[in-house]
Amino acid sequence: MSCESTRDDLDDFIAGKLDSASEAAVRAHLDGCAECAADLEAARFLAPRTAALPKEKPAERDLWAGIESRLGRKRRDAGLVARVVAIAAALLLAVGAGWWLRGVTSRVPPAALEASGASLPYESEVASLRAAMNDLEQALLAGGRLSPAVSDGFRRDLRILEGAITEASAALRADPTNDVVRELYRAAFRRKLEALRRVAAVYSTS
Amino acid sequence: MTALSLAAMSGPAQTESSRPLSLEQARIGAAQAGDANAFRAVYEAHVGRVRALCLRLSGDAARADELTQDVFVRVWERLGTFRGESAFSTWLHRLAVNEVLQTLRSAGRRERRVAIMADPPETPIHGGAGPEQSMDLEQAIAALPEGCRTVFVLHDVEGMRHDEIASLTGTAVGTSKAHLFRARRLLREALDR
Repeated sequence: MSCESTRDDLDDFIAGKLDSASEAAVRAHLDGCAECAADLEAARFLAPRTAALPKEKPAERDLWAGIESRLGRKRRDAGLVARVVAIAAALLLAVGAGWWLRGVTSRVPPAALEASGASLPYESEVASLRAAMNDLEQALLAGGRLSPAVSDGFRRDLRILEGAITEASAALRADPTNDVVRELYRAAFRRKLEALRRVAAVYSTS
Repeated sequence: MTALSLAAMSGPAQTESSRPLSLEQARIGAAQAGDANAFRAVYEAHVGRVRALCLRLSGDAARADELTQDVFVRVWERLGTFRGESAFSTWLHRLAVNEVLQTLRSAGRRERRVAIMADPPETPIHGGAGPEQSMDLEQAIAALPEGCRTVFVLHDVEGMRHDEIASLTGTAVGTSKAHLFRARRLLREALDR
């Protein structure tokens, strides 16, 4: 076995990944080659130390300001479709917060909810989500790319889903710890989001 | 049928497109559309790893900061080309390696430090609160000759293959291997002192 072949197999040899025949060949070469034996020793010495190196090395100063100042010059023309995508992404962020809804309401005892007054703990997030949904809806409908039939159907679906959200919201306010109501509430939001995403996809390809 | 029951009957959507995106995917989508705040969140999630790469490839803390900034500006410019075919971290990492190697090459930073540890970096390498042993290894890596350092960092630290490294550095696979074994020997000697 040559030094080159041995070196090729050295990492697998150390990791115990070679088959028995290859391992025996590497071992035989190492017994008679001081150079490759030194490579093996160095690799064995370094492997655990290298693995222990920190994966991250935070800077001691803020680097973002220097980055941000250079961003504006590069991308400032996000068009309407891009804006729609951005809003949809923001919606998904909000919906992500919505999945957290279950945990929040589960952790808050009914007595604490009552003591806090009329507001539910997630109310501001829900308001943000609905506002963002409205923004997306307006952006899609104002773009002029959708046919009248698609626009009409879209408006109708959104009205129904918005009604479901309103109804579920009221039900949840009346019974904030009810698992079934919470699930209906999430489902209503999710259906509306899906409707918006589907139309956004049609919009972006039309 | 009430609107509420309609929504309940509809239930969670089951199509591929209806799956909720991860928080990072949503942030990337917003950043792709030009949302700098979303991009900052992406930056915050990845800056530590990118700077570690920049620091180890350059061997200089101040230079690493500049390279990190350059990488993220490049990420912003190229974000539209990310299609989600691979993990974002993989895409970002590849882009970062390319950017750093290209910048270091074009800046003519080809310092050859033959006598390892005889020429420690002028700027101490600052890292997290790691064990003393890891700081020694960091310093030894920083003092490697550039070719050896590049291959050692990409292969042993970042886990890249020799053919990938050869492609990125424009060298032969054999050269990459030779650099690696030399780097290991030099590091072994340096840490043995």
